[in-house]
Amino acid sequence: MELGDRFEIKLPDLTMQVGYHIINNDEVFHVVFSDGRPELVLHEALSGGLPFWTSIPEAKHRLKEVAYFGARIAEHLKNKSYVLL
Amino acid sequence: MCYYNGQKVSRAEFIKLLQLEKAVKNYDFLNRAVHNGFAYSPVAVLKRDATETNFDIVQMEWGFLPPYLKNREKVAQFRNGYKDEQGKWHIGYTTLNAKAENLFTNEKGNPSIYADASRKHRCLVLSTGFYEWRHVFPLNKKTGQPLKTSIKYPYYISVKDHEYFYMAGIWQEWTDKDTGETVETLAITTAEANPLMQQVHNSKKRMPTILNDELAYEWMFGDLSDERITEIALSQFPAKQMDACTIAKEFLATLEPSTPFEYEDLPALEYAI
Repeated sequence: MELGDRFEIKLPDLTMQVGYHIINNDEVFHVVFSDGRPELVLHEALSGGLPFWTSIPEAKHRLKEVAYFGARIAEHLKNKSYVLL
Repeated sequence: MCYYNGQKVSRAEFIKLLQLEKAVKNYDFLNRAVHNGFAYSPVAVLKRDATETNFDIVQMEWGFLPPYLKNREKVAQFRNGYKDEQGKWHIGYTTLNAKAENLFTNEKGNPSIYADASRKHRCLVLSTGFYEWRHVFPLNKKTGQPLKTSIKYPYYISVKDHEYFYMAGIWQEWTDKDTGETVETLAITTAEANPLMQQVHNSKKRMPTILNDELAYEWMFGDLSDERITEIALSQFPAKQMDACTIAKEFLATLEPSTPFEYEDLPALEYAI
């Protein structure tokens, strides 16, 4: 187990501090933003067999943010992921 | 069909999301260390005794702590990150593992927090096996391209014909200055993955430093130079002496987390020994 349960994603105008957790055997990502916007808890769920990013609980007024920040996490994980020893 | 956050989801997915919502509501993210229930728990360790020619079997707290942390509150901040009074976020550090390449100099080129322990406090962690996730990127049914998000499969990795084996560790005594409690804390060193572990732990391609009896003895009792310490920590245990099998994704919650579990859709491991 090494770094990766918490990681940082630097975007052009802000930084995401992401914590990785397993809750109810599901993966969730707790995201804190450097620009002070409210935190998000993100999870990848399935719609018609295809994954999509959602917030937990629902935050219908932040759907674009959820999709955008979820995609950044997916990109990050594809290259650098966490380790479980 | 039901909707969650504007997306059409199956009833089963919807129920799962509602259950997750309930669990998230009661979950304290900042006080949770890691996703692994074994992390920060006591582990059995062989440590040189006072004579420096024999060893004791002791329990240590997994998660190396630098001595300058004043109390458990500071430890939680160090591990989990925290917001300061100005609302600025400070990232947390996970010190369960120490990269062999960075025992003396960290990735920024500064002296490593592990340097002193690497020279003076080397130990051996007794292990029956460990867990690692393999990431598989399924193909998008429409485009045929790999999806950006992987499906993760847990594996249990052990050493063939060995009930126990040794992992290289370094330890540091830490004292809570509020309570006076002293604990020995530990990091396990990691090396580049061998061919088997490159397949299993295909995201980071690292593995714990597993030592054979000869290297284990040298690691614990040898009067070693920094170069030799690094060399041993970097040593790659042979893939042909290891076993890896898939286990259930809920393994952390089970009583027998090493019970094999087959996934129909998972391609077999292929590696050259």
